[in-house]
Amino acid sequence: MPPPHHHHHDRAAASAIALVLDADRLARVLEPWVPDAGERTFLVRCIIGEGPIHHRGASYALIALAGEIAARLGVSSPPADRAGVSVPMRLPPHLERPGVEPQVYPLRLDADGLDRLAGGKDGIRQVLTDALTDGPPHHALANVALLNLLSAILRRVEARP
Amino acid sequence: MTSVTLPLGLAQAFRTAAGELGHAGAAEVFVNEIAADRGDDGVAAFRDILGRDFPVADALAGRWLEGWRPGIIETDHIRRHLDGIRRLVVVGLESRHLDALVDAVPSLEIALLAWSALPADWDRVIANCGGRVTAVDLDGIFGWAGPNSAVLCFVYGSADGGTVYAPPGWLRLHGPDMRLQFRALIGWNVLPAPFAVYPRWFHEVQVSDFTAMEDA
Repeated sequence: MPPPHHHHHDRAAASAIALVLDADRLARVLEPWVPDAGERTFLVRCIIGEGPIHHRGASYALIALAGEIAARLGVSSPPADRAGVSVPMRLPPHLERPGVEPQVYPLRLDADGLDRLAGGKDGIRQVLTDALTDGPPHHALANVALLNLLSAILRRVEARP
Repeated sequence: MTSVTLPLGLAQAFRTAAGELGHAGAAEVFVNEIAADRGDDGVAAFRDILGRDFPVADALAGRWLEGWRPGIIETDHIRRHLDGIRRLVVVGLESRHLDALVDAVPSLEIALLAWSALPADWDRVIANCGGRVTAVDLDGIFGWAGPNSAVLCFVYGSADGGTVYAPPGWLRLHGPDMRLQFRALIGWNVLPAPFAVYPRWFHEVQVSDFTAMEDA
């Protein structure tokens, strides 16, 4: 007798996922890192307005929940002195030119949190920064938004008595 | 059919004009001149001769016969979408609209995708823009990308069904690699009216492909 077929879950319709994405909520979460409204609108589109729908839904859930934790902990804004790592706009490989710096997205990576993962391993911050900021923009920018929240949350937690 | 005769070579002349002025811009010039010389019967004849081949000219001539006349090109509603934008890539060509935009936003750097289905002398097209517009090819567009860059595409047709008609340059340029390298993707609908004939030269695209859509 063949094993019963177990559905992990019913596949959600793309339109159903699109309906639960709250652009205003995501914009509010990003605001401390992206004070300019036009840039924020651009980034919200990058993260939940473009790319495969499952990515949009997943990125929204992760960032919105991290934003919720940050709000409950009273994390309001990132420290002003943190320059962060820029997220490049990737050119098609045949257009890359040595020495020509790419344009960057208006959201920088606060990589502080990555140091907690080092455990004595040199270079982990650089290696993971490269992993987080590579790939298609919707992917890289969702990574950066989430990591910024996690870094801020960690700082807040560690500052508690 | 009307009894008015129009000059031989009209279609050839219109084709050249549409390539370098835009379908709507050329249609305005031709309809204006024909109406002045031959009246509404001349415009109707123009439509009969060219309409099936040039759908924008057909629609524009149809509107003319209903009493519509070309007016001043308003740009305020487009400028609202250009807040914080320093560089603009224009896709498709409507020279009157492009001229109006060039005048309205002196600080804006503008590039024009020098590629279209109709043949055009792009040096001549660019020379008409008073040194304010640079020609780019499909690869060159990425050099204009950035967080303070936008794309503006001239589109046509009624958007009631959630779609409009865009020039093929938009299809070549519009993809996941490009969309996220520009802050805004603006559609400027220069002829927001239904087509009465098959809109050859253009392709139906979703209004939602654009971050903003404005009627002329």
